[in-house]
Amino acid sequence: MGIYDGRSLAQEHLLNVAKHCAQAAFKAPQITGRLKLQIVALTHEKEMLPIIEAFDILGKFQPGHVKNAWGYRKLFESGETVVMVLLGADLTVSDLGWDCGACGFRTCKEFNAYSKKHRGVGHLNEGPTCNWKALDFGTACGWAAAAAAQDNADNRISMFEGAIARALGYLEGCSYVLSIPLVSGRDLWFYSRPAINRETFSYDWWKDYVRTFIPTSFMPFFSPTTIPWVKTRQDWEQEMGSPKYTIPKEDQEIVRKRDDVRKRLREFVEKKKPEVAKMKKELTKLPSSSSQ
Amino acid sequence: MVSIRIQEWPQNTSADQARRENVVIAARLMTNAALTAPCSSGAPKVEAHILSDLDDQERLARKMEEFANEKGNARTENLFKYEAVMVRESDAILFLGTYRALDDPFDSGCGLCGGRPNCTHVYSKRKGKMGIIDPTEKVKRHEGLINGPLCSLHVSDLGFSVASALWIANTLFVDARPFMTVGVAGQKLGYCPNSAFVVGILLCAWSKNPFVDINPDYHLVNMGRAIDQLRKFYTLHRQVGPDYRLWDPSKEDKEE
Repeated sequence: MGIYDGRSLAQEHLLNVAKHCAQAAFKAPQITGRLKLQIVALTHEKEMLPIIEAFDILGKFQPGHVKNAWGYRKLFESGETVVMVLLGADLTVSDLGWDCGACGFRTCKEFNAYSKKHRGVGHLNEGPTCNWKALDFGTACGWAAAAAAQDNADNRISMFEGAIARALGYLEGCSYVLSIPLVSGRDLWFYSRPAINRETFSYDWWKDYVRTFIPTSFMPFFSPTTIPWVKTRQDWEQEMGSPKYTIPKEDQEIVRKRDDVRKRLREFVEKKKPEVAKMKKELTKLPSSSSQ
Repeated sequence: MVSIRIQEWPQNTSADQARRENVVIAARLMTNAALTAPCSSGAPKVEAHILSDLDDQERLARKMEEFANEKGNARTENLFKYEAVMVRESDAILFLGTYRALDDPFDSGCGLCGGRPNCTHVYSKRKGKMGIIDPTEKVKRHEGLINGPLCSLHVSDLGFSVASALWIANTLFVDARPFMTVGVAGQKLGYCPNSAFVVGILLCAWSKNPFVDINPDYHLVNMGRAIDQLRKFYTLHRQVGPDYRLWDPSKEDKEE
């Protein structure tokens, strides 16, 4: 025994937390008892980098994702240890035979026939999905997150990270993948986002953003005969000459931008897949796992 | 001053009732955990109902037995029947439901429900106006247990809530297990009325967890029926013997 640095101890413990999460997810109570869960943990920066780079691309259309990339980069720059636990399962087959109807089909047989023919990818995940499998998968992930919380490791369940990891092939044969990133020595890294600072955040940008997502908070009283406009300043009455309206309308520029980001993301995923496959071959063996 | 005697037997005595009340406290704490569980975008979507009343439990168990016969199939018939017994044996039941899964999809086009980059799998099978699904619509295809299709993302989120609730039960060493059958029957009886997808978590603080080690034909062979049979047979066999006031044969036992 000797003198240990506390931060190093906390960082070293992070892999144990990931083990605890995996243990918990596999042990989580299941209603179906038929969920086939897969878990991998990424522990090095280079293993997480493709996911973070995908956030950069997504951020061109949805700025919210950029802050996720900032957050990870800040952590790596400051020498923090991050462990990303990826949990996945194939939810597109129902072997339950319960015929509950939650999927929209009368029987599990009808669902399976439809699923076999129409299995496809949405913006994030694959479907269609057996809802009881989805519930059990959610329970497994929730149990893993609770395990991390019990171990005082800052964590957050992320669907986007999971979706990118699924597309990149970190977990094969899974229709739904969720990520639980873990970080030690920090509080609320993934929530209050201390990575966002003056360099990366503009108050003016936020004001536009907030007026976009809750326009009713900024609307003056209006009669049914007028089109509501959005107040953008304290002396908003002065804007009456050239008000800023909220009117549902087509915006081909946004559509083009969105499609461009999706195309770039698809190209990026295809480019990075071999790299991920190579990393997976070098999957770190734990001392106890001699058979893998 | 507090003086509480707690014992699990005999059932339904004040000592047993005190034990049940403890389980209700656990159910309350589980509900808080379910509400604070992680979920997509942090948007509220979970409702809960706690039940700990023998009459209501009996009503629920009978509904499940009705489902076993009317809606059950080869796979679910015995689930309903066996788990109805567990409902009767529970100290408390916690229902957790997602009230957005039917008429308020997440709208991210995530792909879970139909494998397409939109939410059409749900919207195309529902009536509504301006993208607002009408939850009051009478659906002909809804003859089964659940009125689907639903937003699978919300259902998966409900899993997080179920996990947090179960984690609390686990931490408090209260036996708990989630069930489809209990949720489905409970929903039809009006628990979590706003939710199309409900999970029923049975809770118990007996020395023996009544939700595991379930023998075949559990609806016929279980503790409740065994005790009832004992009462029946003892009642029958006690009638063999003389009037103890006139002659007590035990006094003539040579072993004494």
